[in-house]
Amino acid sequence: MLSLRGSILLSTVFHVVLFLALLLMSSTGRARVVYKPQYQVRLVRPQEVASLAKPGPKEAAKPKPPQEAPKPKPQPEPKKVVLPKEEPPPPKEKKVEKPPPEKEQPKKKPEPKPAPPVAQPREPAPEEVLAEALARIEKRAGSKEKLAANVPDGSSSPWEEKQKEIEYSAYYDQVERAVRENWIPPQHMNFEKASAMTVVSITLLPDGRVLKSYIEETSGDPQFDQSVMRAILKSTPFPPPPIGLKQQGFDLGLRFHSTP
Amino acid sequence: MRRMRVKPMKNIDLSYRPIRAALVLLLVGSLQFPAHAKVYIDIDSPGFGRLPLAVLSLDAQPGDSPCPDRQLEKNLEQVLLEDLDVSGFFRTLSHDAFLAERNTVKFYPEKIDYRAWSLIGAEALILLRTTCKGGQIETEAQLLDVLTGKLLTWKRYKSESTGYRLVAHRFANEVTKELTGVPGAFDTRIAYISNATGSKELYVMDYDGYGPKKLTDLKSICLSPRWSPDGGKIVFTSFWKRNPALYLLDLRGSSPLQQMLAGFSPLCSGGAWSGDGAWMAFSASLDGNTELFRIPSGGEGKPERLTKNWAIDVSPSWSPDGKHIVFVSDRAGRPDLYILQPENEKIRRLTFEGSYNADPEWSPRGDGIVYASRVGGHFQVFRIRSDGTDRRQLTEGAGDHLKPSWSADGRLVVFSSNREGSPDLYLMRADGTGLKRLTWSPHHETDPAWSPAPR
Repeated sequence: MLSLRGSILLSTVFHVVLFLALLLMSSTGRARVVYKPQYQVRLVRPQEVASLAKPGPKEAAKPKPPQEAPKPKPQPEPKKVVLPKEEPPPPKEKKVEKPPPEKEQPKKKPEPKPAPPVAQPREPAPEEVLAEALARIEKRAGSKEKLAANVPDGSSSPWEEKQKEIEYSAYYDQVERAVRENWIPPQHMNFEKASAMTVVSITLLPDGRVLKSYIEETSGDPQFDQSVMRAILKSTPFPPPPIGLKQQGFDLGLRFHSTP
Repeated sequence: MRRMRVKPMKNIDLSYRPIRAALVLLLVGSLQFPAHAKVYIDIDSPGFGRLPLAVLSLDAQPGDSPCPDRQLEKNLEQVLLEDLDVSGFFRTLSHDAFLAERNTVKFYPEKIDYRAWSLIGAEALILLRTTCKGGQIETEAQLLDVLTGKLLTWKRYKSESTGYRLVAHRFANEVTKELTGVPGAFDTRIAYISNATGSKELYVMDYDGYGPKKLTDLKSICLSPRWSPDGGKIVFTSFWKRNPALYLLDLRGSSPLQQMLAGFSPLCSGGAWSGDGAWMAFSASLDGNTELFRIPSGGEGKPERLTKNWAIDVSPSWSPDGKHIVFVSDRAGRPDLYILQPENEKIRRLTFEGSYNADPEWSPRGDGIVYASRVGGHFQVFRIRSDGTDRRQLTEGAGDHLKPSWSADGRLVVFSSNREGSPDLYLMRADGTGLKRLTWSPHHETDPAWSPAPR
């Protein structure tokens, strides 16, 4: 029988090998993270909301990233969030914008939007969604003190992660919007009731210019593929990637769907 | 059974080097993993759109012999613009929006300032240059991709000066092929019946209603023309010799009008060629009951009976692969569409809705059948898949919409309608959009049949 130490060693070796194999596969067999801008919404728990509210004075320096994060077309819009009940003091509203998303869940439709008076953004900015969620929570919870009571102290490093995530999401949203605005899927596809998907890989330079682009997965319809490539050409230069993503040759995949 | 001894966890020595190394590796790996994952952004189509296209006729370049009649170039451009508009796939940009001065644009792809075109939103650019030499015109036409600066197609046409419409149609076909994958059918023609002379005669005109031409002078009633797959002949039904019979007209004029099946039945109608031209289906009455038959399209041999039923079976139309025939029968009590397989005589019913279904024609692409169906007292054009699904009403409004016929590319449909008074011919896209009136006479224009693409 193997000693514990021996078996741990064996197990460790096995795990390391497995891990290295996975690591290798992740770099060559390319892991895919699919970003779907429109259909995500962050749900928060009352405690989290409160936790955001409490450490207010401490984190006074932080409200910046979430502000520029979701950058929708109508610039002032994210700030115009109106909360149904105005009991919370001003610092609260600020903090509300960046609670860690506990769960992510597909949302049916982003229509129930009583607050934003501006234009009509295609997807709700995270702030709006949060504000909405907060309003609902407030209604249910009744009083704010109760919420604030059981608040743990927020630590900064997960926050940074979240901020980064929000920043990246905002960037992906920007890219999605820019490309979609420039894309004219060919009318004959609609006419023939044909659905299609083309996946294009683009490599972006830190200033947003496209270093290279190629079709990773063709739709099978050359005209559809061309329309997609035209959209990319028209969208060049792209918005410059945020600091965290900024690196020489930053790869991004774009999946163009069309359903008549 | 062996007993396992489990030591408590606290005995594991985390300072043991391999374990520490593994932990560090795991930590580093888990931090690095997301950086390796490539992010894919989903982009859903913002709705389909017409491709923005700029069309420009260039001034004569040094060394060219310009046409004395400048109107000719404008007309050619106009015909091209109309074709592109009819297709529904393109949005042609107004000349007012052009940034590039007409006389500065050169006919060489490498000398074009593409930015001036992409700035106004054009994604494709068509340049035309027409020169004249002794009554002949020579037209050069280029299609360019504005965003890549790529020359997509470059054609040169020579014709009589009266042939500029055909030149424009041909190039519109090329543009459609290049940008949608399927060539247009703008150089095709439509055969139809008109009573402009007082009797119902056979006529033919361009697909856009231009250049109508009378083909028969039988002073009788002609009906239901159908083209041969090579576009060289038209078969139609006429009461010329009192009883309805099939007549064959050779458009190339090599043989005179000829009656078909004279010895077979005194009552024949609704001839239709199969897609490969091997067979002609028709309906005939032998014993007082109208049934479907087919004969080798040369007209020789004995007709083969395809239906045996007490009901009336008429208006056959072949599927493009020649394996099926759609026809009208009242075997279930009212006129409905049925599909027949000539090889095994299997028949299935296609339509169950509408009180009167008639005039079926199978799409040359095989993906649908258009027909007329009575809804609320009026006939409307419908399309349906051959499996009976996706039934869609294509026309609306007052009046009867009858005898729909597909264009060679399966993207347009012509039909007759009395929506504005006397029956006239109209064109629409196969999804019911883009209605365009083709004939404007006070007479009756009916029974359109779209020609195949010229070979």
